[in-house]
Amino acid sequence: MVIATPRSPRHVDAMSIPVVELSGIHKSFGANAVLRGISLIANEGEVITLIGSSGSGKSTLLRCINLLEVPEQGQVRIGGEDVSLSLPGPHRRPTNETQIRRIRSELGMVFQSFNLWSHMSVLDNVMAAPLRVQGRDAADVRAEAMATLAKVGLAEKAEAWPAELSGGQQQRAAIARALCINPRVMLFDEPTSALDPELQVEVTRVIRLLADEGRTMVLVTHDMGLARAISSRVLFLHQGLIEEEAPPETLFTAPKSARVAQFLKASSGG
Amino acid sequence: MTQLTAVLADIALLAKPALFNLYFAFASIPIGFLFAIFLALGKASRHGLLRRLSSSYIYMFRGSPLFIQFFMIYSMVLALNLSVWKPLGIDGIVLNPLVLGPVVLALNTTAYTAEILFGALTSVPRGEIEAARAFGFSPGTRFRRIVWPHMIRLAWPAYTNEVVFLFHATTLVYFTLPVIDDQKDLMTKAGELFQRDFNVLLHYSVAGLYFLACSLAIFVVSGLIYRRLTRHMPGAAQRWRFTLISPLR
Ligand SMILES: Nc1ncnc2c1ncn2[C@@H]1O[C@H](COP(=O)(O)OP(=O)(O)OP(=O)(O)O)[C@@H](O)[C@H]1O
Ligand SMILES: [Mg+2]
Repeated sequence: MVIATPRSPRHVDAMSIPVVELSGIHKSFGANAVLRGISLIANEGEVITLIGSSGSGKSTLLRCINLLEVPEQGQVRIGGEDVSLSLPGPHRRPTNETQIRRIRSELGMVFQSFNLWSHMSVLDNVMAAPLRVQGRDAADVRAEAMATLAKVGLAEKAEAWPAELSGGQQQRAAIARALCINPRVMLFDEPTSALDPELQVEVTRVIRLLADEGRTMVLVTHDMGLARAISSRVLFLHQGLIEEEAPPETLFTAPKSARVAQFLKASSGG
Repeated sequence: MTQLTAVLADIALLAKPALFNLYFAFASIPIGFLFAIFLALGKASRHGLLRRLSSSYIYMFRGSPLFIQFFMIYSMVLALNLSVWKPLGIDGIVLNPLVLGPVVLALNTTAYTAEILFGALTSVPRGEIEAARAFGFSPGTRFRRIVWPHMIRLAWPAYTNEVVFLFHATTLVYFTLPVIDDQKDLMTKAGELFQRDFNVLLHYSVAGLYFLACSLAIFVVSGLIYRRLTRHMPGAAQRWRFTLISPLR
């Protein structure tokens, strides 16, 4: 368990430039209404953390940001640009695939189960999107990929296959892969949940480092210590709505909602 | 000693016929493989009609004996001879076993290979495809860089069986189609030699030796390719090698 160390508040920027704006997001799977009208803003340099019990729709909300899920109602704006979607309804689709791909190439996603491309070396994983999607120069990309791997402490594993790495190393490689596209926002979906406690620490350390650099991030996590340490604001999801949204120092010490209090009690006890 | 000379004589006599079996296999397998990729994607498609058409094709050719497919297609092609092929002046090409044989074999292996590739496609790790989507890969790049390498690796052992099976199935060509001049394959030539001296054991054993030798070559090459396809998975190719020489269909 990482002990929360108070850090300078991140939510007092003089100028707030919204990078991710979700408004009125609805999403259901069949009869299961998972998101029922959620709005979220992540400003430049902020770390927004989503917490809530299992099945509350945290992953679904995160996946709406890069359109891995298409919300049937509501609007997604990335860097001030509206994502163009067809008319609201269960069959809503992006109307501009090129726009979707461009926006995705500016959002670095890190998955709970790493999802490294297992047939590529670690270095090729990190270089793939910059080369194949962003079309950048190969020599530049290679140099940047090596620097990024060094940053997450994996320089000597560049030529290894993902299968040869520990879980913690795989997740750090996945973070390097997301970093190397120079994303506007990093999206983390429970990056440490699949890891043993000792391995969680090495990944958490990297995430904290990124937070300290002032990167914009949206993070789903069950690690309350991490949430407390790096968040600008914490959002608690419950039954498809945001039950409470507050800076961590408020939410974790004096939650307004009884449900949040109950959740925090359960997760600190567990 | 006379035994040995008889065997050597048969090996020499059956060398040219073996080339016909090899030709039938080499002419049909690459075409079948190519079509099978599209057919497998068709079967996995979200487009309902495309999916049904692909599935029906696969079912038809997997669900009936190759032997009957040869007869059906040959009789259909023959029926069109006077009305279509002759007027076009291509009857000599269309009815030639060296053309029609590979065509039927290709139609058949397309179906089997498509089913193998389809099965492999459904087993490609979902998370890796999702990651490719999340990073903005276009559908084409996603297929080439992520889906295909997994798909071909997953399909490879079963596809090797299909190749060997198809190679053996080349013996069916001249069961249906007429032999032109001296264009005999291993089975027809062995049959002809058998008619002379009724030495079943000798002639069919030597024909069988040719099939064994070619199958071995296929296994060896396929094993090397598999090793390359699984180089990111320590131990996979080694595990497979023990199942390689197991009885085939
Ligand atoms: N592709 C899908 N098809 C059908 N139902 C889905 C799909 N994805 C998610 N769901 C459902 O939506 C609900 C919310 O799922 P989601 O994964 O967003 O929850 P979560 O808050 O991330 O949970 P966890 O903490 O367990 O990861 C769940 O009831 C889940 O079963
Ligand atoms: Mg989740």
